[in-house]
Amino acid sequence: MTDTQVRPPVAGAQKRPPEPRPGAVRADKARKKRRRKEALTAHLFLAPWFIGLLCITAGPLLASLYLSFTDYSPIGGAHWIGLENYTRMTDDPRFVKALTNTAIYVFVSVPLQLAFALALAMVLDRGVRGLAIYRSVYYLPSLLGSSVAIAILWRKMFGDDGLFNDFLGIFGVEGQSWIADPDTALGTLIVLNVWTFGSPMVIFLAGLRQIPPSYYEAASIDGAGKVRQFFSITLPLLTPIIFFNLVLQLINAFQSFTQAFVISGGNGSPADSTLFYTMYVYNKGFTSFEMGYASAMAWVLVLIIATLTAVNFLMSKYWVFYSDK
Amino acid sequence: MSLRMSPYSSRRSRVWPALLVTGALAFTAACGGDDDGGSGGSADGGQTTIEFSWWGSDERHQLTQQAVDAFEAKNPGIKVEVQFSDWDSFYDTLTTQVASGDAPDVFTIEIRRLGEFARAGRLADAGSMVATEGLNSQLLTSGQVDGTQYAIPTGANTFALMANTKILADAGVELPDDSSWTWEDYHALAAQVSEATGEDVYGTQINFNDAYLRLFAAQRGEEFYEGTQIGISPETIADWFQTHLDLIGNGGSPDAALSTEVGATSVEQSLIATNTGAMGMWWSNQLGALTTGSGEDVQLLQVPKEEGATTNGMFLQPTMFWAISEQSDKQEAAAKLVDFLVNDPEAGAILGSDRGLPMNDAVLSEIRDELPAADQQSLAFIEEHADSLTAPTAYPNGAGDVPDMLQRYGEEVIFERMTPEQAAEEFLREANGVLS
Repeated sequence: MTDTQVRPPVAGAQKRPPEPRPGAVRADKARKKRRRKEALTAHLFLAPWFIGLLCITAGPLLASLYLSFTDYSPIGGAHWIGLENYTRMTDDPRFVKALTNTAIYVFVSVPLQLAFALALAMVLDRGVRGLAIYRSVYYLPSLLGSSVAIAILWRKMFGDDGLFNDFLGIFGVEGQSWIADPDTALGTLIVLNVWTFGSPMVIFLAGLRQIPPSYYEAASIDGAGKVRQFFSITLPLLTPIIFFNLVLQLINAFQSFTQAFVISGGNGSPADSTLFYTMYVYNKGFTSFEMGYASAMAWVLVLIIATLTAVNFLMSKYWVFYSDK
Repeated sequence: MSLRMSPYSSRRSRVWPALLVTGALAFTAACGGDDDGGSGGSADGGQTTIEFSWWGSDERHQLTQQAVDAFEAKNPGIKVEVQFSDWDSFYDTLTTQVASGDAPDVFTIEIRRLGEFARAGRLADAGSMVATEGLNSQLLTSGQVDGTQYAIPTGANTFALMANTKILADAGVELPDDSSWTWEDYHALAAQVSEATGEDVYGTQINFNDAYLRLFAAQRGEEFYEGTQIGISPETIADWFQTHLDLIGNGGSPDAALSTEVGATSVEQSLIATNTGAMGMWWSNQLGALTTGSGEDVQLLQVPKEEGATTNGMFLQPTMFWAISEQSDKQEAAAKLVDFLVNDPEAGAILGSDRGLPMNDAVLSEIRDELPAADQQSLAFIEEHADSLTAPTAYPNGAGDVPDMLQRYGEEVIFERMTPEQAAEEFLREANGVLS
């Protein structure tokens, strides 16, 4: 997917004869027909997604926008209340708490996760024997990380008589329950997210493979050490991939739900320290029956993620380097 | 990469698979219509089909299915379609069904949600369709909202203090005299047990259950809800939060972090059930799980009293209710099912105490001797204290949020991020803000 060498399938353009010949008009027609068919194929392949969007997602999406301006309760009715849901957020301490928790989680765990992924990708890129096995092993957490089973395992690991405390015990450190202490509970969730570094790692690996070895050879002949090579060759050439991973992981992290839901027992325990934004939305909608308010919060989340992604793209001009430009 | 192969090599063979895939997906997933062609099934061949929905464990699903089979055998004209789920997803499903006008004809509901559903006009007047004469009248009133019997209690529970006699014996202490003990006695006993049993075994397990606050306040003559507000005074709530701090402080219970961790687990993982604690407060229908888990003799006790209080505040809790949907156009058949479930000894014999101890004399006299030992102990306890056990009335709207709130502020207190007074004040402000 990161193979920039792939040519777009419009090969006809290159075969275009240098000057018009009698048959050119016919060839042109055939080409247009061909292109239409191409487009048709593309649209057909996209259709399931579009149909899904229109039939399944679009309706609820628009409905939730409307409901965000009402006091809708799933068991009662909906009354138009204008912007009240939106203004209410500004003096809802739990909303602020949920937003803060999520922001800490995102801005701490994503950079750590990417750094970890890059570091491991570089180790694996050195031609370790059995690379395929390592790659799969390290990729596994990405597949499992957001599952309920792993969240339950995490509870056990960071619990009072969990593995982590056994490990600390080796060094004579007396542990505590890390998931039940409001000061450390969010930390265990951050560690869990960092642990799922597999998918960015695989993408980094693919990226590293694309950097021509000749660059490194030239650099080492010029006397550049490993560190210098990393900062002057590897990092700049990887920036598009770092950018891609960053955008993707930020969006993902903002939407985290399962882990916090399972680890906290669904209510942000202890003392709201693991109350994630999405969990607060869910609780307001389905536990408190304040679906209107929940819809408004969901739309604010959309705005936050959209803004963040837009800023990301704008900023990318200043640090992302595309070698083929 | 494969993308490099000529894009034109086999165009014909590409369009058709695409069409096929699209067609198949569109057909199966995207705009697929109702599978049963309308809501809630309908009369077919002179048969009425009703939908019946509940939450619970596998065991409950099997028992309830058996009861449904027995009902169908007695009522050949009615077919019951069952839907069940675990507790966590039950209300999500139910509220979605209610919102889309497709609610099941009969469903279970608990007291925290009863008022909300009834006041929103989602429940039919079950009392006018189901015979309720045999039921405990105290308990029955808990199913009324604004004077209408919207729901029929399935059975009763009481929130009591449980004691693992083995741990108490290990600690060399006597089972307390529960008719006269005070909160001070309880705290001192807990500390004594922790002290005597050494590391990793504790006197008791703290809890933020709203039932505990309810009885604590009742000892001071305060009601949990007064109209649409919390009826408990800030001082009482602060004192209640303080009891948790005291127990952690004197070593009677595990420290704040471990208490929180244990508190988040199920009854099977509780201190009593794992033989790592002597006491704890639980619902009477959890006595069976505690006994099985610990493998020891667990006794059901009256909760301690405040110095000078005239009542211990314990109450009869409707475990849950049977409710009939207002949206149902087959309420008559639905009422027949509910009537069978609460009044028919055959149903009583199948269901046992799974949804609380049956509070129907006709059913009880039939099944009393068949009940497991733990249930017989609970039943004896409830009957012995029948005079003093009152039942709560339906809660105000928004009451479903209160238990989580109590837990949250309780955690703020035990981790010493708020004083009990601050927590009480904040709790009242937030709770009264959502109640209506």
